[in-house]
Amino acid sequence: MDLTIKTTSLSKSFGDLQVIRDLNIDIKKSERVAFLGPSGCGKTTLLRCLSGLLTDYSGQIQRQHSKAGFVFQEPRLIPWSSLYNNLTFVTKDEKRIRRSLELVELEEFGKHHPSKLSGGMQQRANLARALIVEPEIIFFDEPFQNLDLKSNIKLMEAVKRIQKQQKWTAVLVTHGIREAVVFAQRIFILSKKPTRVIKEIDMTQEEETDFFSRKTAEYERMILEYYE
Amino acid sequence: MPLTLPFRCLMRDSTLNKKKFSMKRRIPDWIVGVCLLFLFWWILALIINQSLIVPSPYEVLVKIVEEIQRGKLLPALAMTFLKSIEGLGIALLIGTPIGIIMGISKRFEEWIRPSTMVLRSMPIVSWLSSVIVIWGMGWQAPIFIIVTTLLPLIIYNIAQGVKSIDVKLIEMANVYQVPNARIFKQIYLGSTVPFLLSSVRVSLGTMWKVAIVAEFMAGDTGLGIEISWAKFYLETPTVFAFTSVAVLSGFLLEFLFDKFISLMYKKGYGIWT
Repeated sequence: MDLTIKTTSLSKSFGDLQVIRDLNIDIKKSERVAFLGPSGCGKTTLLRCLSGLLTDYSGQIQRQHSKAGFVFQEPRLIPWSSLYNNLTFVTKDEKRIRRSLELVELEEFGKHHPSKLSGGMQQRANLARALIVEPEIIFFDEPFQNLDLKSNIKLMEAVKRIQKQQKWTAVLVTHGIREAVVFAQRIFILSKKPTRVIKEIDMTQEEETDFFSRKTAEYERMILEYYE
Repeated sequence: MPLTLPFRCLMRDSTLNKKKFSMKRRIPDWIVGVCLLFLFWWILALIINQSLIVPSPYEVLVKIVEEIQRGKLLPALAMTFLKSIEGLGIALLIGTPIGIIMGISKRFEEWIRPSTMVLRSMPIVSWLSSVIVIWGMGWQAPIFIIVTTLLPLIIYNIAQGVKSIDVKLIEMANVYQVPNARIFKQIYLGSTVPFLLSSVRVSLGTMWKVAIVAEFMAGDTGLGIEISWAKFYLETPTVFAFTSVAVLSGFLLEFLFDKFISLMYKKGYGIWT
């Protein structure tokens, strides 16, 4: 079994405040994983540790990937640069930029400034930026949080479609149960601070779910029971 | 029940009244303000009734036309304008890099702060004896004084711009391992542009006034020196004529700059789009 991330007794504290406690997780190559937990439980800290943005943790994280993309909670686009220039900021490879824009269906908006794009389009641009580095893994930090349902569905469809084509690993942190169910093949339910995994749900054998299916609603009900 | 004829007439009348009212409303308030200013000036000139103290707007207008015909006013205006723009250019060239480094490094800010504070508080006249000794009466003194006046303003504005950079953008750039030169160009310089423009906007008004005062005291050409000569011969209408042209040119410069900025807004260059 090919692993891309393996943590052993991962813990993280900020001063006296312990945020993550003794976390042991395996993430396989090309799978979609979601970490689901209440607001303020330390999900973003966990994602930052897994992605290498935070390094001063205790325990071990083994990473088997070299190129990673990051889809931030807010789009983090340079406001005074066009969408195209936002991507040339990361790479000068025009072919990759064009391909990324096509994948997220923003090829016609390259000359637009971020302020001229809707929230959903900005998040797809955020995804396009992650795609141009040709990643083996992409970390998603609650990218669906500030979007309306329609934009949410469109972004989710784009992420899943591209992930299936390109087979990168996707790691999502979110507090939205429905988003996690629709997105992931495996869900780790996290406790409140200091966070630890209280339940792992494997949905690899399940058929694809969408925002409105009965299966999604059933999972939602089930997961709610684990929320403290 | 259909409307009777008198009612229809009434309706037409009320529409006409509305049109008249909207035509009245179309006169911009700033024109009313300018008319009021001239009215006050005229009344003051009438009350005092001595053109040696306050000449009337008409006398000043005649004087402006005379000075243009004599070929004195426009060259003087051009000289003051050139010196002002040169001063502003030099202040921007020196102030922008200092401001950027000040915004990035707290330590550098502490090193530079006392000097900029002194520059900001120092009266123009205090420079005069030194600059006259160094350069004599000429074009150098006004430019030097414009630079020293604008420099602290530009430095503080640019430093503020750099400090206001969104750290999340820097983190994003680090995640994607963007080279430092590109981060500096796209993020640091990009964020300082609005602050740079606002400092130029503020500088335009200040530089014009400072240039004229500096020319008045240590210059050899320009509006300031013409005002100085007119004052020397007690030609108050000429003083007013040159002053009015200076004020109008200042307004025009600010107006053109604002137009340029709004054009940039429309083209979509900048954070403010």
